[in-house]
Amino acid sequence: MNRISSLLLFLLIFSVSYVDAQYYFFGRNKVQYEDFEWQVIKTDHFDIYYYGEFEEIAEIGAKFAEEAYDELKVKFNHLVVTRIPLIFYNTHIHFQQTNTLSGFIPEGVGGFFEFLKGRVVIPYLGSIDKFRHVIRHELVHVFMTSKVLNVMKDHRIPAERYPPLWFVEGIAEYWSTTWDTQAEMVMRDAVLNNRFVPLSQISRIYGSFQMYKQGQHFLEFVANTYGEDKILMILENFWRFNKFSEILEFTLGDRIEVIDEKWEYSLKQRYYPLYENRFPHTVQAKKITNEGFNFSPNFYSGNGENEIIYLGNKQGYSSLYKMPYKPDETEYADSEVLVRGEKEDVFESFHILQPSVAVHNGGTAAFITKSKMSDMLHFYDLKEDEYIKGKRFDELITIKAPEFSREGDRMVFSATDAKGFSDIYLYDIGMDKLSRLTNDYYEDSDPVLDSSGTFVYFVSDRTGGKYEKTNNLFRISTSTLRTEYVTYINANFNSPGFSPDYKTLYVNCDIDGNFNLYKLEKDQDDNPKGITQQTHFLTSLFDFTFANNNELITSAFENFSFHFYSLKLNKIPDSLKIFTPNEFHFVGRAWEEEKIVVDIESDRLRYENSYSLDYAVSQVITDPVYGTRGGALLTLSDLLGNDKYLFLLYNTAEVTSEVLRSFNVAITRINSAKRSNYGYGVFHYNGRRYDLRESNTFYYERSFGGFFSLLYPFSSFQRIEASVSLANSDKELPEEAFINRKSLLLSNTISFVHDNSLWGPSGPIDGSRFRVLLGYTSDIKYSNANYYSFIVDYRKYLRLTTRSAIATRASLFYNDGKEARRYFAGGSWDLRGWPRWSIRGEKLWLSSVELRFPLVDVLYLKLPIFGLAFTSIRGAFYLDAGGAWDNKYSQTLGSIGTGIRINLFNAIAFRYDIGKKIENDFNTLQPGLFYQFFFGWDF
Amino acid sequence: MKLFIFILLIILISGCTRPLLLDNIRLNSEKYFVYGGDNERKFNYPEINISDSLEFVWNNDLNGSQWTTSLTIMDNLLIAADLSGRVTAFDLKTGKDKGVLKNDGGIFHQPAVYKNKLHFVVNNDKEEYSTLVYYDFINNKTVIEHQIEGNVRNELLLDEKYLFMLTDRGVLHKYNPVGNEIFSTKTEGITQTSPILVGKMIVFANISGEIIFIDKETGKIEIRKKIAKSIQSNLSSDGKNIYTGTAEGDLICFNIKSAEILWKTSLDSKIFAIPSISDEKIFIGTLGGKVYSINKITGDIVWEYDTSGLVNNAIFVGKNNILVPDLNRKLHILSKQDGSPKSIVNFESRVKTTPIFHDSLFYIGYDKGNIAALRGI
Repeated sequence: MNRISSLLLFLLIFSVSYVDAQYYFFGRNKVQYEDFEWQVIKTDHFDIYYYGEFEEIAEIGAKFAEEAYDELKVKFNHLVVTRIPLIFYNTHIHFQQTNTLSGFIPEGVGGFFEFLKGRVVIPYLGSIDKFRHVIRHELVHVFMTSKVLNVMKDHRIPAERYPPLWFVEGIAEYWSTTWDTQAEMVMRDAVLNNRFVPLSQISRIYGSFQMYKQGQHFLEFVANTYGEDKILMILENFWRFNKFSEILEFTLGDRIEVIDEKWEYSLKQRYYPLYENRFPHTVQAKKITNEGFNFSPNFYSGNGENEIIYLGNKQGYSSLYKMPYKPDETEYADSEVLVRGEKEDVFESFHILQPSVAVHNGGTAAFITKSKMSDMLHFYDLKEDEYIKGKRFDELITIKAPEFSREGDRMVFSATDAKGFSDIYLYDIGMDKLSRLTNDYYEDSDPVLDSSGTFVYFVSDRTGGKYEKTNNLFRISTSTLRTEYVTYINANFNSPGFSPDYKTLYVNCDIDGNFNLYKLEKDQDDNPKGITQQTHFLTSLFDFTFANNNELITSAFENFSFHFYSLKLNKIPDSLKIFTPNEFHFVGRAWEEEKIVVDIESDRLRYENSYSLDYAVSQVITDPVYGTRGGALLTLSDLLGNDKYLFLLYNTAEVTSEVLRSFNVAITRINSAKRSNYGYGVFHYNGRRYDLRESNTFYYERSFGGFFSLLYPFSSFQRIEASVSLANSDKELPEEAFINRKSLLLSNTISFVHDNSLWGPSGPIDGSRFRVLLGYTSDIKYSNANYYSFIVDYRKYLRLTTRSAIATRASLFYNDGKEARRYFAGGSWDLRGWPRWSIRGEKLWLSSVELRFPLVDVLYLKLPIFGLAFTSIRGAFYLDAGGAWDNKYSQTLGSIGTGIRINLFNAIAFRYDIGKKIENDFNTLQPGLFYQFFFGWDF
Repeated sequence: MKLFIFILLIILISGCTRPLLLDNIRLNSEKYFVYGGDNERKFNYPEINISDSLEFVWNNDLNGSQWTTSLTIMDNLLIAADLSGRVTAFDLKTGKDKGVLKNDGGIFHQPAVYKNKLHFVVNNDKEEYSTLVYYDFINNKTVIEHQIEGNVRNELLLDEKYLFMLTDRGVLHKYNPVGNEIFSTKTEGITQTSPILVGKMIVFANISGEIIFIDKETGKIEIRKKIAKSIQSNLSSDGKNIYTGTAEGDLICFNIKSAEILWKTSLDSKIFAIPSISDEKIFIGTLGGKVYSINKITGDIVWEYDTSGLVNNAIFVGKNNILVPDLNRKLHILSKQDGSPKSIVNFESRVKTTPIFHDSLFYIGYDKGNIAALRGI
């Protein structure tokens, strides 16, 4: 992602003089669908940025932030003395449009603290409690970073090191929230399934959710075993040693091995006894899937066969699948894709971590995807196996947990509006009418209609009284909109669902520490009296669907994966079915959250761009061709990342007398605040240049001018680009007896770009990408050049298996006219085996077919004092062909061979190819082999 | 070429530091030799009238920042230790740098002075030990270096000629003037409090909430009693009782002989600072930023003031006003009587040390390694 961003910058700065530059980028688009009108609330320590109707939640968030500040200053014995910017988005969909990070933000990211400008950026996900947690989590990062930097500066030690990620995230979780069901689930699963990773090897789970929870639990262990004070002491001793393990040892007074042993022992002590009366899913139910991630199961038997319609991710694309339901068979059933996500804008992405699918046995499936600026509700005909239609609700941004009514003519779902409120909606499908049932800031979710459609049962955090803010079960009348409690228990509920005969309501509840299945019990007057536990799984049951009144298909987490299980309720002994009564006598008034109080005039403002320095680098280099040069690059941007400025300054003088005229300057502005992104700039370049497109031509050129570029994305996958540049050029061409060649070049280009490719470790392995470019360049003053350009570059990736594909490319680069520039090829990036960039012509075509496959998953070298690991080493077999010419086509060149690619830290890929060139107009193979080593991603 | 050499020489010369050679010092002059002014660490200076406002007289730099400690005055010199391991001397009036000692590590406390020697402990960089140093500043040489296991972030104690040092692993050491260890007593508890001397007892607390009395002659533990869940604050005494704050935010007064708790007052937040004791009142700040005046006898809160900052160091108690160092870049001047704010001195960065006073000037340390002198307006 950063690679794409930096290439964009490179393009905008440097392509001005080379408007037919052939090394462009593809890439998906981060589209700003919204025109955010930012406001700022200034509190004692924060500047809170929000927009639109999000004011009420922003004020609540501001209060949380100030409360967290007061708590954290005590925990850290430290103050952050600079003002902290907090940027709030009302939904995750809007959050994904942020320019504070240049890359794309996946669904699972709940917020981040960005070091460059000290910004905290947080999406609101519908729950005030989760909002508080995320704010506190990110502020722990802010305080910790400030504390560590200060500790290092206090001791006059360069701040070149930082605590490891597991500790950074662990302390953020530990000091922002309590140990909850999700954390318990992950740790139980890790310990009981031998996936627990000790501190000494924790890099193995780097970046994973298990790492977060292990880090959190480790700090809880330190607090319980060594004292809470030790956590701050770890930070205050951070200056003392280079290795974090030594800091831990010094602070805790034990060797790392001993700490690990004590920690692991405490976990085993805690979790092993659970085996006495709790079960793995594979023991109490039958596992029926074995591959990928599997969510939101929905049973369907309308076609005469039993099937499961569900969300999954088996090959890198989140998609809607169906699979046969045959629990008695020993083999795992194969799945079939109904709707592939992430390839076109209408199904831009599925929300696979949320319930997003509903099926009516009449043959209609409903599912939700992100589609451009908001979520869409889609309908699919399961009998005809075809897509019916999609529905977007203008007032709704996100939608989740759809459920059909018994008749299938209506739906309920939970959705978020511009205020950030997560409420229950009733949609009449036939009449296309939407009704809002709740309207407040309580998080309402997982609705389900009863058999008559009179009541909607749903989960909400509006619980008041003794068990305030727990997620209990409620019901609301669709006619009177009166809400009443169905459960009142000190626990959290989710995913209520009726049995097929609608006589019984089942629900997930975490009263025993993890989400298990419970049955709602009623008294003789049909009033809810409590819940009876049905399952006793060790790890959480996420979702369920009924195959019949006795048999369920569950989606559960076990062995760090999400799979489906077939569960028969009558196999569970009655002795395990424990009843928990409701405690309605503790019900109290619904809670209200306090908001920050600010002075309207001075503390509530419209956002105005405030710029600060992002990046400054200077360099002096020398080489035998160009001699010595030196320069600097500075970038500035505003707080929201919408407006960027780049300043490039360097000097290419070779003697003192040339210094003044050898300054090279480029100033560029790039604005991405709105959907259309634009950039413009001016430049002055002066010095010796070597043009790759000419035959070893080395000349002196002074060039100055300006450019303007526009980029309009149609969706995440497609965009149009246009640019115009005007450059005055004064060349001295040595090969032409030092004749001065002057020109005033006006260049125009327009391009269409498509990219929905899916990347593997060294390059794309699925999807496609292409660019079509038209351009025209003319010397409008001296008539020395006048040519048009046409480029088409098409790349298609045919998936064979999860990790292998056949990649194909067909490209044509065509310049025609007076003094048309040449294109070039040769080398590891196109015509392998041929000398790099040695093949030149005003017209150039390339074609490749390549088989990409995994070669070595992990290669670990253990040396006496350290180890090196290389992962995902990929292999390739390829055939390349191409040719270049100016006026007359000469010959077709090619190569055939095999190669290895190694991805290093997702920053660079090294490539090594062996093969034979195909010479003599594609007639003969070279004698011997070529060996070529270079870097770069696969095409 | 000549220009290049000249510039290089300038850089080298300006980068050199002068050694800490103080051969003109008067050894029996007025002084601040220990943290808190005396071994009971009262921070009480009833003879000093603090103006309602202060202004800057001079500023100078240390190499590194300081811990939450204070400064030493010896004759006409201000001596400060910093976390980069340096001990620097400044002229009291002008702030001019008079010499510096370099060590490889960090010094967390105020250097203690006895006769011609500076005593301090360097927490060694990249090592699991610290080094106790006796430095002869007349002859500019280090005369004693002892390796000690663990961190030493607590203040030193000087009793006549003996030096007491408490490590964070709860080991109390006693040394004589020539650096010989008289005894070391292990208490098997982590401590972040500085020991005080009350009568013939060395008293300190640990993070398990225990207070420990050790006989200064024999090194024997005489009393060991748990009075709180955790104590990270320092102790102070008025000769009759001992006062300390706890991590739960309580201020506790206990008997000097029996360690019996006489009263306990709950404040708003965790307490790291040392209670400052005047004739009738205790003055204490909390990490929540509040400052309290508390009746010494009953434990009742007389007044409280919210700095909106963070107070983790001792309050300087004068005759009429008090000075409150606030990590939020401020020094608050409050009325001793009722806590009403007189003025605030703003600093560029976090205020780190408790101020000390000498000859009409206050001296204070703040981030990043700055020392300032202030006077009353």
